[in-house]
Amino acid sequence: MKTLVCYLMVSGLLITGVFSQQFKTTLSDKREYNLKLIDIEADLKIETHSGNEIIIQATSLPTTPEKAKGLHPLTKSGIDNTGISLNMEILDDVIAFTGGKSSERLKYEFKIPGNVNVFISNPGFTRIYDIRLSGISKEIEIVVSTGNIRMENITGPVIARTDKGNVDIIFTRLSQEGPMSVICQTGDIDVTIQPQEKATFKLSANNGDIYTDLDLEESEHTFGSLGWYNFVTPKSGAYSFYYGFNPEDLGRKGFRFYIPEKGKIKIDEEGQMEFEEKWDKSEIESLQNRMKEFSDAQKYYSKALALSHPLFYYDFFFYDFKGDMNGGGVEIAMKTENGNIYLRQAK
Amino acid sequence: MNCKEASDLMQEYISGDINENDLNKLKRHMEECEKCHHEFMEIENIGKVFDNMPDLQPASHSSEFLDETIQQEYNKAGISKTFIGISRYFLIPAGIAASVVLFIAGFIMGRTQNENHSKDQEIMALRKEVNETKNLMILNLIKQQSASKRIMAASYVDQLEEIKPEVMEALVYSLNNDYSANVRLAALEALSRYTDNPFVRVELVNSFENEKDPVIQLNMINMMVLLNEKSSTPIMQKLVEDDQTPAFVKEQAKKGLEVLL
Repeated sequence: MKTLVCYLMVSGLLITGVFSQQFKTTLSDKREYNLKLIDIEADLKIETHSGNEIIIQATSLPTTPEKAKGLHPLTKSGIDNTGISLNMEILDDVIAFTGGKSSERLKYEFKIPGNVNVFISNPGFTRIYDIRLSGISKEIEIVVSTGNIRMENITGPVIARTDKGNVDIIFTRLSQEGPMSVICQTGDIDVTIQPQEKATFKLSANNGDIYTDLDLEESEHTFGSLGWYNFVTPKSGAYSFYYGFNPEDLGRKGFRFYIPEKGKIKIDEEGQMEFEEKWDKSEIESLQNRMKEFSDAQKYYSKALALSHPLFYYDFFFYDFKGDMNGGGVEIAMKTENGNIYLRQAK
Repeated sequence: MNCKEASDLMQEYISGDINENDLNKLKRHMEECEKCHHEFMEIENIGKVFDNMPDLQPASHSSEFLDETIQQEYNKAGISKTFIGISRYFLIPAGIAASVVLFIAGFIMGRTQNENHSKDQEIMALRKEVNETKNLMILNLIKQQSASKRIMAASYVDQLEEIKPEVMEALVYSLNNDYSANVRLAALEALSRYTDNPFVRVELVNSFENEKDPVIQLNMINMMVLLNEKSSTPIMQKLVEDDQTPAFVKEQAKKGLEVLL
């Protein structure tokens, strides 16, 4: 039955899509769809409209040579059943378009109904593609090798990954439906958000910086420790390290727990535990000497090395900053290895 | 424990005299013995019936007949129509009601006493159940079509008190096979909390060897250095030597090697 409906739809579309540059298909407004745009090596513009049709407008389609008259093209994506060099397949709630051709200025403009999740995958890298989405209030997922992505008036959830290219996102409202994640290998991430939204940010710009005008409250452990760890204080020839930690954290599984060999555990009035470790002067000196010998790489990892005490757990280096906006909410992770992150307030 | 002893303990349970030790024994026996479990459930149900029982009223015709007879008897004996100022028409229903109230009160008292004994156990059981549900939720979410839902699965791991082996395996599978780098990174982050588990360690090194995404590779290098995982050095060496490795990953691998070797 489903296949029959599909065939009917496809054949209906072929008739409606007589005009070679445009293609239309009608969806039911009673269910949610997943639109998948796969391997379309072209600029993409996706907008929502109030109707329940998908309308695709193609510009700068490569022209067919005279000799090819009466023949149909064979492409990597399969048969061109839309008349605009795209192959369409419908399977249950998935509508997939696969691209056949690529050219310098080829561009597809999609107008889609509101009940459609969007998935774009473009592994092409012959040029920097321009991908623009606007007005989408469902989930968006984009995996692109080279391309600048701009999303306007969206609500999320957004999952995006680019090798090369900037990602700009302007949220009208922030969906609390599911976590979001944006990863760039090389490129800036620029996000605009309403100041009253609730969110938890996890940010990392490896060879870059993070800038914001939002009011963010940094989470307790950026460098994840089970407690805190005090300075060395000379005490009658011996040195002491103090470790304090919250008892409830110790109950959490998966963290390595350090039990001092030389120290003793004390519990203070507030119920917080503390223990002390005695070090000989010679031990401290050798430690200091070792620190002097640190190479550049060791200095780079010094934060980790200094904290690589078993008392600490290892979630640093995943993110430079973790913080809440308005008490925290939906989790938004952003990571760029070569580039900056800009977090802006919507004006 | 045999069924006879269990039956005795059930009597104690009803009267509320059972101690925590015996209750545990009884529970253990009931897990094995279907018959006693059934019997116990019946007792529990009786308790519930009592709780929900409406106030007893004698049937109207019999009450009239009874009242008439009593009236006649009273008249014969010349007793006044009231008892300490209460109309005797109320006496019988009030008596029945009072006995019902007493019975229920006794039952509830017995139960509450019992509850105090087993409260801690109940809380423990509840916590275990919540943890179980969360584990199941992760297993369900990690299979979803939506990438956001799969990331959600990974971030739920943070809230677990105890991770089940199948959840751990699902995360490792996700780390190795999910097409989305965003989901793989979330899975890596979730697994990084369990690096004291030898299984996770081995799997992380295996994943590092097979990972192709430079962003994930970079995070894995950092993690391996932090974990002081010497077995990852050949992989880093390979990354340094491979021409296809992006420059920024190569640089990080060099730094990592310098620290680890």
